Amino acid sequence: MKNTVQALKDAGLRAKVKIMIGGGQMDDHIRQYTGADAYGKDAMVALSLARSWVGA
Amino acid sequence: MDTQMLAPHEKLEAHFKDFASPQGVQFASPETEQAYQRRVQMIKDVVQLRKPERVPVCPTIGFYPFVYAGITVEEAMYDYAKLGQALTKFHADFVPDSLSGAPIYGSGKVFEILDYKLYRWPGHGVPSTTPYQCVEAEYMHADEYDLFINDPSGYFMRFYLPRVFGALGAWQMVAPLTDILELPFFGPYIVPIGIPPVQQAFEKLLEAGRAAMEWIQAAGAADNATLSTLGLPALIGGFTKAPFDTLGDTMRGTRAIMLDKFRQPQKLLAAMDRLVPLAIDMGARSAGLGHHPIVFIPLHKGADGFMSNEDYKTFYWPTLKAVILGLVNAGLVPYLFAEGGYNQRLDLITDPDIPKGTTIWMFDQTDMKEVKKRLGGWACFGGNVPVSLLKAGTVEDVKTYVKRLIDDVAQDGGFILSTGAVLDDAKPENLHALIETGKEYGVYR
Repeated sequence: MKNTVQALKDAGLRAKVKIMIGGGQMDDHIRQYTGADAYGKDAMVALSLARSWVGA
Repeated sequence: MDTQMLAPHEKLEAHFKDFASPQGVQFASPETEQAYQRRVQMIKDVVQLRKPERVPVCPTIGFYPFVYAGITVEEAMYDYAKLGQALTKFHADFVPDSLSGAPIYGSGKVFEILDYKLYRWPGHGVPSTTPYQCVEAEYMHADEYDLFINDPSGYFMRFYLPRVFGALGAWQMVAPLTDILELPFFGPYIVPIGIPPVQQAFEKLLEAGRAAMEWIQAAGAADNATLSTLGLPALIGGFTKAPFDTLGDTMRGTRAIMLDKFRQPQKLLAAMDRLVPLAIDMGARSAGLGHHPIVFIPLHKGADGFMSNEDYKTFYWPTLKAVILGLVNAGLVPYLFAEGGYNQRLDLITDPDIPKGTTIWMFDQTDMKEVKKRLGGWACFGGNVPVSLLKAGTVEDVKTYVKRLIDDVAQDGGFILSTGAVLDDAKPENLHALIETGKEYGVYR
């Protein structure tokens, strides 16, 4: 995850995208470590996050 | 010893006695042997809800020793010398209170020979540094419950295993072993064994067995070295599963079993009842082999969010409870590893039918103060130190977390300091901080 976020930065795309990470062991420590914008424990949280990001 | 005629608590005492004096182990020194026995005593004390001399520190270790030793997961699964060296180094450098056994990582060679389709492992679908991944599918089909219930072993041999192992596909042509009854009908029974693909399947199985011998000698030697030079007992003696997870993890799969709860609940319940004695027998046999009374039961699909409490009470708990009671009656200690969150289940698992001081419950993302309220005085508990903290936190973060956890829930004993989840990655200084803080701050005065 950290490598993927870094690759997006290196490609100059980081400011244009939103990145969420997910799964049972995700928390704010891991969000900061990877450089993602948000985290969620399961698919329902991912849905809420995506909705809030696109204003739906 | 023969414990057939003893009461459950007498059997448990006998099992702990065996555990404290392992057969065939040459300890490096009398001090090492004493250290081993003190650690076994700490485990016994917490299981039986007493205050031990200090909090036992038993992190649940996954692939971290290989990250620490600088070898890949692929090397650990194929190069048994490297596997042994990595684990020996890990235990010597960190010295937790329990040994993390070498056999759990498996032999890539054995899986290759049998063409194991249930997993992707390094070199077979995932990169060399990535732990194995389970491939969920309906290996048991929706209309096969009756086949399974009628004859679980026959179903495994003729339907399940041929799908899970590519090399055993031809076993679907073999008749159930219970057909072997008398001379006139034995001739026709044995004929399919002569069919070339069936012959090849058995030859592959023999080859896998030979490869497993080579592997277990190296893996066993590594564990034996750690045990005898550092005096670390394993926390796990045997293994079994909750019937709902047996069906849901690797037979029906998550999606299918959740649909079965609605589409064919009676079949699902009957299959789980059928699994109870098999699960008790598996746990008891595997514990007996190692002369170690603690039986590990990882809990998966009953975690918070997977089903309602009503469904938990109907589908998950009754057969798990029966397995727990079966093991307790055999003088064994079920060790329930509650992965994920278990906050909404705490009132359901603290079942008065389960005798006090006979089980271990490990939690991850469950409120430990609530655990203490519900389980305190009933069962040993522990876990909860986040693996994210060990990977991305600081030494100070870890020390603070451990001290607060001990202050909050460890004061009356019956507590094991451990990680919430299985540890696959960490900063070494953070794992040291967990272990050292536990050993220093966890002394009972």
